[in-house]
Amino acid sequence: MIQIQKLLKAYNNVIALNSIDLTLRDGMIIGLLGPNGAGKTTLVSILSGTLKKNSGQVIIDGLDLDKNLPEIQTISSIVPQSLALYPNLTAYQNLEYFGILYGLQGKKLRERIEFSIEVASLQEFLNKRAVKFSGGMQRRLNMAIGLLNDPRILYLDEPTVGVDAQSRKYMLEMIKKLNINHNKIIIYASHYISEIEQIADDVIIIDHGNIVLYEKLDKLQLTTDAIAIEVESLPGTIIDRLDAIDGIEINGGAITIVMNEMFYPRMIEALSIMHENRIRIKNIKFNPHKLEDLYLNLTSTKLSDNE
Amino acid sequence: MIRLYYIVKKELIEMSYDIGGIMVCIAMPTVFILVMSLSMQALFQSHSHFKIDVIVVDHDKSTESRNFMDIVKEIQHLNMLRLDSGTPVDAISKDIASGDHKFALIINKGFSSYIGDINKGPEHNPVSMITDPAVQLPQQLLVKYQLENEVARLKLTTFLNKNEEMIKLAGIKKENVIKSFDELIKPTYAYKDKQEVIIPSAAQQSVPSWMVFALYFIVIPIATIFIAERNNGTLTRFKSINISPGYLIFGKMFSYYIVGMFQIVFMLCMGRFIVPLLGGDTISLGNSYLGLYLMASCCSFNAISFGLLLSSASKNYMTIGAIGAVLNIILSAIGGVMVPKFVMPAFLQRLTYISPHSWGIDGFLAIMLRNGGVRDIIPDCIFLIITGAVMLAVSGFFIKKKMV
Repeated sequence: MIQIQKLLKAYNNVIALNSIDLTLRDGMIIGLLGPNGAGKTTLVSILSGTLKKNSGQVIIDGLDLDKNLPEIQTISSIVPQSLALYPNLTAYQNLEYFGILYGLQGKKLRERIEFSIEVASLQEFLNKRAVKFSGGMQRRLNMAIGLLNDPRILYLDEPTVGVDAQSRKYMLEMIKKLNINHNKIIIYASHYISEIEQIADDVIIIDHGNIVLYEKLDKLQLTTDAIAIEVESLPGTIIDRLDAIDGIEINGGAITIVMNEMFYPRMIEALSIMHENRIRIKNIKFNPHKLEDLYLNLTSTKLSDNE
Repeated sequence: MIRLYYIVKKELIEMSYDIGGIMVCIAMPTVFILVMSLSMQALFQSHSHFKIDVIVVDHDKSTESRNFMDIVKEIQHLNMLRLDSGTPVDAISKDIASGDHKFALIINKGFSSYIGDINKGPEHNPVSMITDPAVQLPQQLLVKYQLENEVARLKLTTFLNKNEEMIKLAGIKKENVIKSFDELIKPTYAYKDKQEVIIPSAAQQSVPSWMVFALYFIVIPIATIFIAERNNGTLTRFKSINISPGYLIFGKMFSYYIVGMFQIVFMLCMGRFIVPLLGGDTISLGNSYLGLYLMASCCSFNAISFGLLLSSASKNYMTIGAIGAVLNIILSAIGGVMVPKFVMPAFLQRLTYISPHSWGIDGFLAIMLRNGGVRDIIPDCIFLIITGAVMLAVSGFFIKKKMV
């Protein structure tokens, strides 16, 4: 389990993480969604011990990040967003080099290399220089290096950037298998909603250094048809009234009404409340893509041009 | 130890693909050594076949002028090119001004009368010399003094021959007077150890200089790999593995130390074996191999620290490539790589001490040229180690700052 309390990080005077609190469940894949510059990489970097926080407390598997960093680093690993490997070394030489740096030797090193190669499906390209690999193969090698120390917690920072659809599919399946077969906690930072929907158990949406949503994915996914009414703003009292109606959910700025036999009475009731309180409707969608809509509603509406 | 082995292996493999790094560290100084050693060879060799062309025009057409031309013909470093005696002075001046020849000697009318009459002085203008103004002063003086010497000798010999009886009566031996002109001064070279006499050659002078120059270009491969590691997230990965920055720095230093030693051995072999094959002189390594190794190690350490400092302080490869190369060239120029220190004016000679290149060259010359030993290079080694350690400490600070 990872417990985060009042975690604050600022670069000069710009707040990157704004006193966040989180508890990440064991054995889960946690999708960390957010636009560019939202604080995903900062959060992952702090948790992996590669970046210092300003304040707050992080406890990983009962170990305090401030006091037990070396121990924490033996049970965790980060796959950075960029290709952290040596292009002129072969795949095997890269794995061997980082394996040695992890402190692995002899039989243990060979076993871990074999495992990582198998997971990344690079068996046929062991003696090929990384620079000759396709983008997808380089990404897989980048991830394979992160698996060398058999981490219980794996931080993946946008691991599929620039990868074709086939490699992306393979990598997502591979991550899912790692989680299921090897019981690893995987923190998967991305701005691709579809990826998070495919693999995550829990979803965290982060924006401007704030956690704006932390929910189980299945709660966010619709199982039946629905109508989503997007509104400008909802006062707390109205949210409470709408939320109390069975079959209606409020997520961010959207009121979702499930389409079943009670749809029309609920729809009329919801519209009456909105009419009474002069709530302005922005948009109405049939069968909304709930996570995507939530994400767009909860995060900044401005274009995210900052990395 | 096994980690160190793999760090070294990785650095060497990465460097072997860095064509730019190999070019500046090995190929460029090799070319410099070959070109400088072969082209400057004649200037350093006393026994060389190097000759200065001198056009000679005889306007006097006398026995004395012909005798004088025979003497000029025999001068070791002059190559006489005789022109028709009717060639006017203007035509000769034009030839010199066009740069085709550097010197012209005109034996003026009245030369024989000047030679034959001991009372006639230089105001009779027996010979004239036209010189290309582009010729350096030392070379001008060399030709002028040599010719003046031969004219004076001829005049004296003629006088002695004419007055043989009188000279005999005065108890003067004619042969001794004439002989006194021959190689009155014989230069010798000063060495620390007299066991082996080394004639300074162009290769002997240029190999240490260009070797030091090459060592400092290690900044290019260091920067290439270091900046790539920083930009592609490998440093982040190192941080997550909890590798100490000191370990990484030591691993890099050891790798580049091996490269530095290879550079030195390669360039010494060039000077020792390849330059002679191409017609140049071989180099001597001196009598202290330990001194040579110490000098190579200290110089290499200083150069690597210089490379690590620039790499760790810079943000991108373009900056480091340009700054590293320019700084190396400036420090080389100040330090006496391109022009020997002894030809610099006094204030520039004092300035050379700020350049580590200067200390490196001095140390190598002390061992290889002056047959010095370890004691003779102690000041050079101390300077290189101290400045290297300071640069290393500052680069360690930068690397740690980026890793923590």
